[in-house]
Amino acid sequence: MNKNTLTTIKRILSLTGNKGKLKISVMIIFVIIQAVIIAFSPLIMGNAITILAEGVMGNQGIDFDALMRTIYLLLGIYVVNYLVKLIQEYMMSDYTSNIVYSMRVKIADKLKKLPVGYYEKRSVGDILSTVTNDIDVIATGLQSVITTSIYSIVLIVIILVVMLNINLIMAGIVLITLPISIFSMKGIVKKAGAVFYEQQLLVGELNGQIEENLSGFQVIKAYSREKAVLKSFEEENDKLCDKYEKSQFMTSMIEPITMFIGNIGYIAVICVGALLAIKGMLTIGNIQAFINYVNNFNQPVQNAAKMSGQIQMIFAASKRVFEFLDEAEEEDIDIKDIEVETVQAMPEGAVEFKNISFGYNKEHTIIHDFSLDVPKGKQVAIVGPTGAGKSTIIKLLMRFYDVDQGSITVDGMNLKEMSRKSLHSGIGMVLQETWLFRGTIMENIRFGRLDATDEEVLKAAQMAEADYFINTLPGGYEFELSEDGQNISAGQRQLLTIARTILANRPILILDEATSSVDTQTEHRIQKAMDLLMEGKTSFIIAHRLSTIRNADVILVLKDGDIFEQGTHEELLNKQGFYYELYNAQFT
Amino acid sequence: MKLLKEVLKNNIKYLIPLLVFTMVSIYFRLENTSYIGTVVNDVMRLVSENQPSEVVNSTLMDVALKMLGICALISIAGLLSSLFASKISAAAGKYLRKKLFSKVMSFSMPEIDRFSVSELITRSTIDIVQIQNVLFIVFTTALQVPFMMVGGIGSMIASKSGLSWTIALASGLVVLILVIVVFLIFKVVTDYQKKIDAINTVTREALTGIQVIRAFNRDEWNENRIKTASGEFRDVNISFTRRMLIMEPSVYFILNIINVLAIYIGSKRVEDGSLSVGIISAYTGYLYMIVVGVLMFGISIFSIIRMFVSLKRINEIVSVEPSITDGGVDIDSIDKKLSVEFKDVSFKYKEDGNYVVRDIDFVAENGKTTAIIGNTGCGKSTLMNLIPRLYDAAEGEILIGGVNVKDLKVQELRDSIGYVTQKAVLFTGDIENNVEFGSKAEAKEVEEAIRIAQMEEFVEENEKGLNYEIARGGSNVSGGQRQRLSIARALARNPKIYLFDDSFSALDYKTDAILRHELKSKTKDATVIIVAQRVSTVMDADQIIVMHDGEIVGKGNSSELFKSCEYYREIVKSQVSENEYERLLKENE
Repeated sequence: MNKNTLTTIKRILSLTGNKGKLKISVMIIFVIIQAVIIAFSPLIMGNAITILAEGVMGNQGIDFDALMRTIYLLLGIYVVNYLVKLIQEYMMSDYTSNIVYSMRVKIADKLKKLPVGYYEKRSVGDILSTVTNDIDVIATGLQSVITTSIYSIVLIVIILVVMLNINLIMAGIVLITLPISIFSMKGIVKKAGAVFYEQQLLVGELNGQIEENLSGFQVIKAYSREKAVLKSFEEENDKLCDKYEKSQFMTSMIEPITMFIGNIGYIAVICVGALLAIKGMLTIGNIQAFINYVNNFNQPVQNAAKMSGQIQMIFAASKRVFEFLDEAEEEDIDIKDIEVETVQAMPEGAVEFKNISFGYNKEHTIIHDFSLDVPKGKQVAIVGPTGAGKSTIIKLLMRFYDVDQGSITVDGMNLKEMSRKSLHSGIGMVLQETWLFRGTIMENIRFGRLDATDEEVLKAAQMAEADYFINTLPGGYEFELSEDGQNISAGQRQLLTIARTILANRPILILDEATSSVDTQTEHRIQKAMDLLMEGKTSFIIAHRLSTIRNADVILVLKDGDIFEQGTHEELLNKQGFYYELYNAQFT
Repeated sequence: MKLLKEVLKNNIKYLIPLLVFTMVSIYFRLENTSYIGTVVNDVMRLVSENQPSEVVNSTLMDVALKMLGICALISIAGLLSSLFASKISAAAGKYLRKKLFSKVMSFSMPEIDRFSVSELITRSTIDIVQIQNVLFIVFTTALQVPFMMVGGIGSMIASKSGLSWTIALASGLVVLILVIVVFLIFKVVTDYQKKIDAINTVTREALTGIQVIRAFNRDEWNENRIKTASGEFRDVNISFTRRMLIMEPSVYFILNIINVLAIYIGSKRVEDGSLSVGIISAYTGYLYMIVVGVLMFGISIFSIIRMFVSLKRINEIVSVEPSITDGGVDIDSIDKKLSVEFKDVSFKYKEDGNYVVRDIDFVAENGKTTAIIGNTGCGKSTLMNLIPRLYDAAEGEILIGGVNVKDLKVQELRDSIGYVTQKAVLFTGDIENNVEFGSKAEAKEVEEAIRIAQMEEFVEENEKGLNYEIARGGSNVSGGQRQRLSIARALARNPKIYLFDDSFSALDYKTDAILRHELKSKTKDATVIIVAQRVSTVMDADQIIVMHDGEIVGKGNSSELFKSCEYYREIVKSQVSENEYERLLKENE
C-alpha cells in the first residue's frame, strides 16, 4: 500500500464527514466482534471434540455436563454473531450508499464550477465515463471491499494471536504458508491485471467500432459494406475473446494455487500436531482447532486475493473521480455577492468590445484586436466563412472564455468584474445544436423561466409557432421528450428552444444559427416572433442564410478573426465586396 | 434458452472435459474430507497406544504423502476445470457477439429503427460480457454444487453416522432462505435498473447541454436534478443491498447451529460406541462444503437471472427477421441507362402510423437532374431512402430502368447508386479509405472525386495527404469537410444514379456553387436526384419536385413552377431579397 492509496482511502472516508467517521468506527468495532467470535469458535468447537475424545479414550464415559456447557456457549456466540453481522451489514449498506451519493453530489457541484472550455476539451463520452461508469464501479464494489478487508485483517491478526497462544510450533507452521501464498498470488495478480487492462482496451476499441458502424448504418447499407465491416469486427472480436480467456484463466488460477499451499500447511499441522499430541504437548481437540484455523486463516488470504482485482479497479476508478473533482475551476466573483447582485440589476444591454484578442491556445490567436460598440437595443449580425471566429465572439461575450487582451463591457461594466450569474441572467441564447432534456414539453419550455405560469409557457410556444405541432403530439404539452428530444424532429426541437428563449425574455439575445434546421417557410413565420422578441433588445445573430439578417442594424463580415467589412445590408451590397460575393452566391 | 443451448452444443468439446475435471476435483475433495476423519482416528490411536516412534513416523509419513497427493490432484483438477470454463465462456462470447453483430448487419433500416444505437451497443458489449462472466461463475462454482451435494450426502450416509439428515435439513433451510431473498430482490430489481438509467440520462444531459445550462443560469437547477436522481438511486440501492445482505449471514448462522446440533446428537452415539470421533470431525468438513456450495449456487442464481435477462435482450435482436429480401434480377441485364421512376408510392414507418409520403409519382430521367424541395419533415429524405431499398414502399412501386427495385439483387442495386446521405458520416481510416470505400476505384479516380468535391486543397495542405487519418466519427474534420468527403465517396464509385440528400447545406454558398458546377460534367450521363432546402441549389435543375407535407404540389422546371406553383413562389420569396424576387418574377413571366 503506497502513499497514493492511503490518500485515496482517506478521501473516500472523509466524504461522509464526522458522522460517517463515527459510523465507520462503530462498524469496525462490530467487525472486530465478529472476527473475535469467528476466531474463537473453532477453539470452543475443538473443546467439544476433546471432551468426546477424552471420554472415549479414558473409558470413564463422556462428560456430558461439560459438553452441554460448551454447546450452549457455542449456540450463544453464534446468535450474537448473527445479529452483530446483520446490524453491521445494514449500517454498511447505508454508509457506502451515502459515500457514493456524496461523490455524485460533489460531481454535480463540480459540473457547475468547471469552465465551458473544459467540456469542449474533453469529449462528453470521456467525462461521462468518469462520472457514471467509474462511480458505478465504486458503488458496486465498495461495500464488500470495505467489509472484507477490515474483516480479513482483523481475523488474521486474532487467529495469529490465538494460535501463538495454543502452540508456538504449530502457529509457526501455519505462518510459514502465509508469505508463500502472498508471494505466488502477487505474481499472478500482477500478470492477470496486465492482461485485464489489455482486455479493457479491446472492449473500448470494439465499443467504438460498433458505435461508429451503427451510427453510419445507413451509409454502410447504401454502399453494401456489410461484409467488410463484419470482417474487421470479427478480427477485433477474436482478439478480445482470446484476451478474455487468458485473463479469466489467470484470475481463476489464484484459488487452486493458494488452496494447494494452504493444504500443505494443513498436512503439516496434522502430522506435527500428531507428534506433539503423542508427546502430550497438545490435545486432540487442539489439533482439531488448528485444522479449523488453517482453514480460517487461508480464507481471508484467499478472499483478499480474489478481491485484489476489484480493489484495484475501485482505486483506479476513485482516482479518476478525484482527479475530476480536482480540476481547475472557473474564476468567478465570490458566490456570496451573487445573490445580492442578481436582485439588484439585470443588464440593460449595451455591449462594447474593446480591442479584444483571443486564442484557444497561446500559439494560435483567433480574434485579433476586435472592437465593436453595440448600443442598447441594436441588432448585430455576424457573417463569414466557417472558422472566421463568429461563435468565438459569442463565447467570449458569454464569458465561457476570458479574453487574452482588451475588455468586454456590458452597460459599461467589465465582464471580469461581474459574476457570471448576473451576466447570464441578462442573456438569452438559441444555438444551432438544440439541447432538450428528458421531461415534458412544458418543463422544457419552462426551463427558460422556472417561475413561469402554464399560460406564459403556452404564449411563448404560440409566439414561436410551436403550439401547432405540440398540440398534434399525444398529450400535448405533457408529451414526454426522450433523451436529446429524439422523438420529435430537428425543426421541432429548434422551435422549442426558441420558445424557451422567448419565455426567458432577456435584454440581450444571442441567436447562433437559430433557425438553420427549420424550413424557410416556418422560418418566415417565426421571423415575426423573432422580430418581436428582438424588439428593444441587443441582439447578436449568426446566420448562414443571409436573407434572415437583412434588417440588422449592422452586419459584420468576419474573416480570419478580423472584421473584414461592416455596415448595413444595403451599404455592403453597394460596396460590392466580400459580402456582395457571398450574397450573390446564393442565387447562382 | 435456444441461444444458451446453441452455445453449449458448440462447446461440447470443452464441456465434457470440464465436467470430468469438476467431478474429479469434487471426488478428491470428498476423499480428503473423509480422510481427515480417518487421520484424526489414527492420531488418537497413536496417542493412546504409545507406539514406538518408527511406527509413528512411518504412519504419519504415509498420511502426509497420501494427503499431499490428494491435495495436488484437487488443485490440478481445479486448474484444468477453470481452464475449460474460461475456454467455454470466451467461445460463448465470441459466438454470441458474432451472431448478434452479423444479424444486425443483415438488418435494413426498419429493423435498426426499432433499436437505438446505444441499446445495440449495450447489448453487444455489456450484455455479452455479463453472459460470459456468469457462464464462467456457473461453470467454476455452481456446477460443483450438485456433485458436492450428492457426494457429500452419499459419503455421510456411507459413514453410517446417522447424521446425514442434518445435512439435508441444513440444505433445505438454506434453499428456503435463498428463495425468500430472490423473492425480495425481484421486487426492487427493475426499480434499481431504472434509477441507474435515470442518473446516466441526467448526467449525460448535464454534459451535452452545458452551454445552454450556463446561459440560462440553470446550474443549480441542473445540480438539483442530479442530486434528486442520485438520492433516489441511493434509496433504492440501500433497500436492494439490505435484501441481498440477509442471505450470507443467515446461511452461516444455519450452518453453525446445525453443526452444534450434530455434535450434540453425535455425542450420544459416540458414547454407545456406534460412532467414531473422527467421523464427527469429518462431518464439519462435509457440512461446510455442502452448505457453502449451496450458498455459492444461491449467489450465482442472481447472476443467472441477470444472464437470462441479457440472453433475452440478445435474442430480441437475433430473432428479428430482416424485412428486405433479395430479388433475383441482375441489374446489368436491364437497360444501361437507369432512370428512376416513382409510381403512386406511399410510405409509412410503422404499420399503424400515418403516411409520411402519399401517392408520389414522377420520373427522374437519365442524364438529367431532378431536384426535390419542400418544408422540413415533408418526406424528401424518405423518398431518397426508398430508392436503394433502405426501406420498402408500402404501396406503389419504384422502378429502376423499368424494373421494380424489389425484383433486383439488393447488392447490385445499391452498388449502382451513389447516395450522399443527409448526415455526413465518415469512418475510422484515412481519407483514401473513406473515399474508395469498397468501390475498387483506382487512385486516379479517388483523386478526381476529391478534386470535384473541393477537398483537394485540404488534402494538399496537410502533411499526410490522402493518408490523413480520420478520427472516430470524423471528429477531426469540420462539418463542411465531412460533407465534401461523403460527396467524394459517392463520386469515386462512378454510379449510374446519384442521390444527394441536402448534401450541400454545410457548405458556404461559394463552395456550394463551385462544387455543383464541377459535378455537372461528372454526372452528365447519370440520373441525379438532389434534395435541398436552398432554392439556389435547385433552381437550375431539369425538373423540380415541390413537396409539402408528404405530397407533391408542383412539378416542372423553375420557370414553369414560378407560373404554376404558389408554394414554390413562397419558398423562393422566403429565401431571396425582394429585388431579387421581383427580378425573378419578371424573368419568368
